[in-house]
Amino acid sequence: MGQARAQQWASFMSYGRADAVAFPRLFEETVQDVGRDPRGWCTQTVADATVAGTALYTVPAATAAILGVAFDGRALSLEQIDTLTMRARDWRDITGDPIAYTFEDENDRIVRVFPIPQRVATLDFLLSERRGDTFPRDTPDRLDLPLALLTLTREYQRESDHRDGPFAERCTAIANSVLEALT
Amino acid sequence: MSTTALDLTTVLKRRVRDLLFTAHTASDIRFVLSEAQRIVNARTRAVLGSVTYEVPAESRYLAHDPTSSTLLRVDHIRAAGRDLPRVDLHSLTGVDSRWPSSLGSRLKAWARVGHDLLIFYPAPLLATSVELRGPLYTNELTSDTSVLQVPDSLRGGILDIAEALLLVRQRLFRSAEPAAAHAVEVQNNRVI
Repeated sequence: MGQARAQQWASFMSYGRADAVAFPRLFEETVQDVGRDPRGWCTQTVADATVAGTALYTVPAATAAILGVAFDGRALSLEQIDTLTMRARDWRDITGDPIAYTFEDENDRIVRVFPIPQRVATLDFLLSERRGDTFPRDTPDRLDLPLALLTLTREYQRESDHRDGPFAERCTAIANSVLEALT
Repeated sequence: MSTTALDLTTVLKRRVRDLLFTAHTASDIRFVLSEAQRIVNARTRAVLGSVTYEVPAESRYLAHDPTSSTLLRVDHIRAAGRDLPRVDLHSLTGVDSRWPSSLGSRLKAWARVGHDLLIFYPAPLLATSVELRGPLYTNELTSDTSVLQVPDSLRGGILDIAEALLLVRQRLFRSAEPAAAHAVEVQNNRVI
C-alpha cells in the first residue's frame, strides 16, 4: 500500500483538508528526509567502476545518503579529511588500492577514495535513495502512519490558508514516537 | 484475546466525547485502532510472526526486506535451525572488510541497513531458506466483530494511542496530552 495508504492517513487526520495535489511532492520530500536519518531508508546499491588515476566519483542525484562504499569487494572505511591529513600530508596524491573514502567539503554527493586507484575495478555504493523512475519500490506498509504525519507536518508548516503550527508539531511528535517503536 | 473492535469503539467514543459518532465514524475509529494495535505490538512484541525467505544463491550481500506488510520489524533470523547473530554494518566491516564479496556454504550473521534492506553474511553459495521473525503486522479491524490479536491486557495502551490520535485529529491538543503521555509511559514499561 505504501504511499496510497499514507495519503489516506493524511486525508483522515486533516478531515480531507490536506492538499491532495501537493501530497506526492511533499511525500517524496519526506521520504528523502527520513533517508538522511542514521537509520536509513529506502536503501539501494549502485555499481560503478574505478578509473585508473581518478579519486573522485559522483553518486546519482537522487541519493539521500551514502551508507557504505566497497572497492573490488572490500568495504572501505569512512574517514574524515582531517584524519587522512594526519595520516599523510600528501594523502591526496598517494596511489594504490583504496582502503577508505571521504566526502569533499563542498559536495556530499562527491566521494573521494583513498588512495587513488591505479586499476579498473568495481566500486559499489550502498545508498539510501529517493524513489523515482530508477527506484520505483513503494515504501513499507508499516511506515504509512509516520510518513503520513511527517508529510502533514510539511504541509501545515508552510505558508498557506490552512497553516497550523500546533497541529504540525503534534504530527511530528507522534510520527517520531511511532518510528521509535518500529526500530 | 476476546476484545472486539466494538468493545474498544464503545470506550473510545466516550473518551473522546463523541457518543453519536459526529467527529469520527465507527469506521474511522476502527482504522485508528488497527494502527494503535500495531504500535503497541511493535513496542511489546506480544504477537510474533515469521516469514520464510529464500536467500538467492550468490546474491552478493543484499536482500530487500520481504516483510514490509507482514512484520513490523525483523528482530531475529534463523537459518538451518539456529539463530544467526545480528551485527551492525561497521562491526561487520571490522571483522571482515571483504564481506561485500564473501561467499560461503553457511550463513554466519545478518545485518539490517535502514528500514528495508537486509544483509546476509556471507552470501550463500546455494539458495538458502531463512526464517525472519519479529512482531506481527497485526490485523485490520474491519468490522465491529473483529477481534484484537494482542492480549486483552494491552487494550489500555491501544486505547490511549487511539484517543491521542483522534483528539489531535480534532485539534484538541490539550485534551490529547494526558492520553499521549500515558501511552508513552505504559508502552515504555512494557517493552520486552
